Amino acid sequence: MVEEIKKVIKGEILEKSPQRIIIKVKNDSFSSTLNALKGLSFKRLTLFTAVDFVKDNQFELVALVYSNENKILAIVKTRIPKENPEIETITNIYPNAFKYEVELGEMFGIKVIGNPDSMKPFLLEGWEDLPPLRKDFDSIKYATEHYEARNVEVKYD
Amino acid sequence: MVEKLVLILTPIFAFFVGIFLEGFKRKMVARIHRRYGPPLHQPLLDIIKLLSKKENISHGVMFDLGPVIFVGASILTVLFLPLPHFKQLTPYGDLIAFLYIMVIGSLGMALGAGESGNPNASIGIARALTLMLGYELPLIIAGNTLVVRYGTTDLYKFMTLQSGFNWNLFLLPLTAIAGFIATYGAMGEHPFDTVVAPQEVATGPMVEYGGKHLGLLMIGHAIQVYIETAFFTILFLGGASNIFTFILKQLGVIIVMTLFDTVFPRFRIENAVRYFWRWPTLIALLGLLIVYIGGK
Amino acid sequence: MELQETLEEGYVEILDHLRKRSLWMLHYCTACGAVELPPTITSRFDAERFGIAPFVTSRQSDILLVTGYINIKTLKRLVTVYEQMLPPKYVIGFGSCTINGGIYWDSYAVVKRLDLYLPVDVYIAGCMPTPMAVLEGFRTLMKLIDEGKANGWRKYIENYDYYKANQRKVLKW
Repeated sequence: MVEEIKKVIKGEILEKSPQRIIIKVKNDSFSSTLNALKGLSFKRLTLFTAVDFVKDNQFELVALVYSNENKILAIVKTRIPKENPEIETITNIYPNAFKYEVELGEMFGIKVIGNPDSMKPFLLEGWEDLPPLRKDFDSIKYATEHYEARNVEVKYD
Repeated sequence: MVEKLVLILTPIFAFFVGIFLEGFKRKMVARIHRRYGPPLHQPLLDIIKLLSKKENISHGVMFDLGPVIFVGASILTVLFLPLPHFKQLTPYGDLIAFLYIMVIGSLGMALGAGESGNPNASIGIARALTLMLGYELPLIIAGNTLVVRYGTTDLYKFMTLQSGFNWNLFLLPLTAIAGFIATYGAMGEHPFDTVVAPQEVATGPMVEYGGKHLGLLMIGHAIQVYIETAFFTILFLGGASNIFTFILKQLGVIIVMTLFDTVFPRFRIENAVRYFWRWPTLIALLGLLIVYIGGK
Repeated sequence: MELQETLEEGYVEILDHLRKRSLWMLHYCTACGAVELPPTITSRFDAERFGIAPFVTSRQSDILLVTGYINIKTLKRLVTVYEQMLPPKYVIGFGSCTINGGIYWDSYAVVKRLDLYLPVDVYIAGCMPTPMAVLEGFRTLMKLIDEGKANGWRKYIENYDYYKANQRKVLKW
């Protein structure tokens, strides 16, 4: 299976185990890679999310696609710059990516072109701060500032 | 004079018998689930609690009138059922009139719930009226079988003609089974509880009712329980010679119904109607044929 | 005049005494605490023997059980549901999340104290509270109703501005 993938896809392919393949691709060939994988029986998108790499000043997009026929999980990764992050939608390839893309916009501030609901509030209604899943967002500070805590004396016996 | 006094007291009697039957049913369901169960007077406590609510939400005049129509129609229906030794209003309305009046309550509730504007209520009403279309057919055929057999439509005469052990349950078992299934459907027990169905339509027509409105509806429902069980008792279990036997027979009907109620899941509405138009109707028609051929 | 007052007081007392035996809780579960409710209702810890039963619509119910953490999106719906209920109505804060945030104390989306936004009658501490603790909470509420102390709904009407201001602070309506 790996040989077949190597034939089709240009990119770094790591074989973690027979059932788990990591594919690292360039930013512009992300959707074409997924399209090619779908042709190779990877028909199910199980996760589509992003990881914030603060030191590199980059986002890593991760898409997990699974092949029911070959029982292989392919992990497709790509890096995008953090300034004005924008990606193309993959709903034309995997329709269930719709809500994942909404989540990308809401939690990371990544704009998805081609998704009508991108950057619209879904879970965080009336959110005005940094997108909360970015690493430079301080959750404790935000929580102590916005939500009042109960004044309790903690006693340890 | 006594007749008139009984006429006034009958709705109250029916209400308390209905409360008792409902409470008994809840206790029995709990015991089947291996729970301790609520006290026997729990429905009464529920009604007191609902009637003592401090505020009420109204969605219009018809919304307020719906429960009133429901309770009023239920009381009217009770008066057309004979009690042992008391004819009540049966000289003025026979079986056919009774079957007509029985529907008014549901219609009142439908009108009231329709004004609330809640989609769940509308779905519930649609289901209630469709289900009524289902169970009325076998009920009317079963009732008319008795009319053919006795040559009368008087409910009180049905009672007297079955005295001794000449119960229709033994003499016309097929008709009795059809009548039982139809009454069971009218009670809205599982598997025919598509109307309320809390998991699907959030108690259907009652979805917007709360507080005093719901209290009235529960009073009406208690009377309805009395009506359905008493109707089956009069038609097929030979009525009774005194009031205690009457209540005991109603209790028997409730026990059998509860046994079915606890084990069944829920029909979809089209399946329920298909079921009613197939099996109980066929059985009722067969019973009618037997009576028609076998004569009296 | 005195006779009338004593009669009224007695009436209210009798009513409270009867009313505490019939409490319907709203089947609205904010979070993971809902997982303790099925054992509370079913065979083992049968809550129906106290007259407590789950109901599906806010109009019919008396108790609002806030089962677990409340995030901003839920709080908005929670307030709506609470205002739809008909008084007398009671709120039970369920689990440590409703008391002081619980394990979500540092979360960006979870409000820490429920009693700033809704009047809470009874808190049940624990993460998770066991069915026994839940039943104990219900019994406490019943005792409070009997004594005429469960006046959360009255507090909400009297301090409506306070609660609304707190709600607006986080909800940005």
